[in-house]
Amino acid sequence: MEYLVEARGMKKHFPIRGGLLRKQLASVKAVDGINLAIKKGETIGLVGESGCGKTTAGRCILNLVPPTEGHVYYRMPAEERKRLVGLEDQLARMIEENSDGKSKEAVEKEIEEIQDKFALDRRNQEELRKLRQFMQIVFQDPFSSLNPRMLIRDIVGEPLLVHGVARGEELRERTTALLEKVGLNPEHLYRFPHEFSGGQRQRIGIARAFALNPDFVVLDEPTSALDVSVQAQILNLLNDLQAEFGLSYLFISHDLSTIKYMCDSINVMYLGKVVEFASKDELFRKPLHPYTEALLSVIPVPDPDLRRDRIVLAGDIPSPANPPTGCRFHTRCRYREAICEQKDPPLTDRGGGHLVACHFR
Amino acid sequence: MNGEEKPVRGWGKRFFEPIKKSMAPRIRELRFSFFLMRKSLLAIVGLAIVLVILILAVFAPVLAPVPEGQRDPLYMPRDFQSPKPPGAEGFILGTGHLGVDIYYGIIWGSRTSIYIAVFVVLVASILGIVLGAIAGYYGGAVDELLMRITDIFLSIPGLVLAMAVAAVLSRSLENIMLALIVVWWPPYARIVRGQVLSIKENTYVEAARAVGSKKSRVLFRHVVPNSLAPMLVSATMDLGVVVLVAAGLSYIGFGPPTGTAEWGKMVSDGQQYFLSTVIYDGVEYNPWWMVTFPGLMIFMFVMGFNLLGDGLRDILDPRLRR
Repeated sequence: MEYLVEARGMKKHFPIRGGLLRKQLASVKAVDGINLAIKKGETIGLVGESGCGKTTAGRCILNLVPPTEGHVYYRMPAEERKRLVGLEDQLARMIEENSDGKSKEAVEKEIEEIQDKFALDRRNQEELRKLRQFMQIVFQDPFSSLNPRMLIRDIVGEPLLVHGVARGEELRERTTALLEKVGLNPEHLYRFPHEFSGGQRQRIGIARAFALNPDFVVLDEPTSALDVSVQAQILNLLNDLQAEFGLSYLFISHDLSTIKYMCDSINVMYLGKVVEFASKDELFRKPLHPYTEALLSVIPVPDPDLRRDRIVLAGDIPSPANPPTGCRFHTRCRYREAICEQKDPPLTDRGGGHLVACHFR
Repeated sequence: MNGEEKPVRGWGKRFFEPIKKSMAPRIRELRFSFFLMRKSLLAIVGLAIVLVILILAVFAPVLAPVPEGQRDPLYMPRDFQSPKPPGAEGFILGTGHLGVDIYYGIIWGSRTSIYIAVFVVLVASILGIVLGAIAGYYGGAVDELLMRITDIFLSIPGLVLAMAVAAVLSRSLENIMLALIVVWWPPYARIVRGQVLSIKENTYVEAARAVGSKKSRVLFRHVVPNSLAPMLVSATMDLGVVVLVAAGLSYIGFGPPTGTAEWGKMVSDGQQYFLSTVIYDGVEYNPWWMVTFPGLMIFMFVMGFNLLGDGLRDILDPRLRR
């Protein structure tokens, strides 16, 4: 089982600074230790409400913002991964048992060696820039993701140009081909972004992301700014492109129906942590975490006679700068008990690769 | 949106119709800019004044031919007689101190003014853009350092600093310009930095990084072009103000030598006659013409660029634009 991209223990804390000397007062724990693993040709979903850190997770995995802790590994061979996992377990055990410093250091050094080879954050700027050919992102807001002073030709052609893939006549041909692939016409090359509708702009964003034939694309809510009929077009376009090039997606969304349409397996995120992970069918059939349960209960069903119990979550999502103690969901959970306020439940396997972080399920 | 390339906006359809495709969008943008400008009468007036002064400058050798044997055209021809009123002996605007031809000075002074304005503003804006963009984009210690240097320059009153610089150097037009550049760049650096700080948060800047563009490319292709609008407006207005300050400096005596075709200097030269009288052809005159004509030119120059800058602000306003 080989993963194309894998994030292990990824954290991103944004410092809150204040005072005369800009001392760090606190930090916003946007992403607080998540694991994501994406195989070749697979679509992994990341779902959660606004402000739960899903976009930050997507940007971290591409190292657009470097993670505070944890690493993102790219194209790590299976045997190396096995070794890394073994070493990490060994290290965790050693810390628990308080064993002597020397062998611990040796293990740490070995881990470092693997990280040096495969972790994105260990690459220098130039190496990372080269790696960007293989990892791309489609942004949420098609209105701000295109430079208003550049022609479509220059926007779509930029990746090809900066990586020295094509220039001159060849560049023009390839950008034309890219536009055709996403359903735009060659005459659109010589227009400015403001001359297009939201759906067309998103197609341009997609053309830019696919210009270099990447093998991993983060889709950061690619359809949330579009109206429903256009959403379907864009999703189908993304599916077609995936089928054609066999690429892997990390699909970030707050919309469960698009997630269901696109993904093979799904991570449910709440306040910087993954609370449940399962394959699509498993998750929609048998949600285990109370949060997932609540989310699924509010998906509209196109049947006027069907009456269901909708679970309405009370209150707002707590501040990621000051998350609740214990289980982060306990402030809004209807199954809450004393233990939830004290102990943070770990993400554990409940059979068949269905992971849940809850004390009771 | 499919199908044939449509002319995007109705106005200007009559102009440049068959255009090379790749050039078309830029020209369309330019036409739209003119369209926006046409709506503002004052901007058109400003543009007209600026154009008139430009024409004066360009055609100076025709309008006021340089006398034979004179090497420096900025040296006003003179007859070393006492001043004559406008119209006398073919001097349309009269003569001044040492009998210099005021008309000649007005015409050639427009060259001097444009030269000062463009050079000072151009160099100051390039300095301001580069320093401001680097400070805003890289942030941290670089930002602190550059902005504190800027603060030091800003903390000294502009005219005083310019006088100090001009006083250290010898008296000449070039040194006045140097002094003005020293005074002029810090506000530009401030404006550009502020814009860069807000523009760099846009998604398209992150998109450029995600695509693998080098930092310098991200900064100069994506951030800077989108950060320039407010600076362009104040630079345009400053084209006028620079001339005003330069005239002020040469009026106090830091300028070029007496008799140079420079409006500020001409006002300064004429001022000593202002309260006296001159006698020409047996009639007493109060020699108002020596200060009035160059003064009016300075006034027109400053106002022209101010109105133009105001119009430009409207054109570049993104809310008006789309």
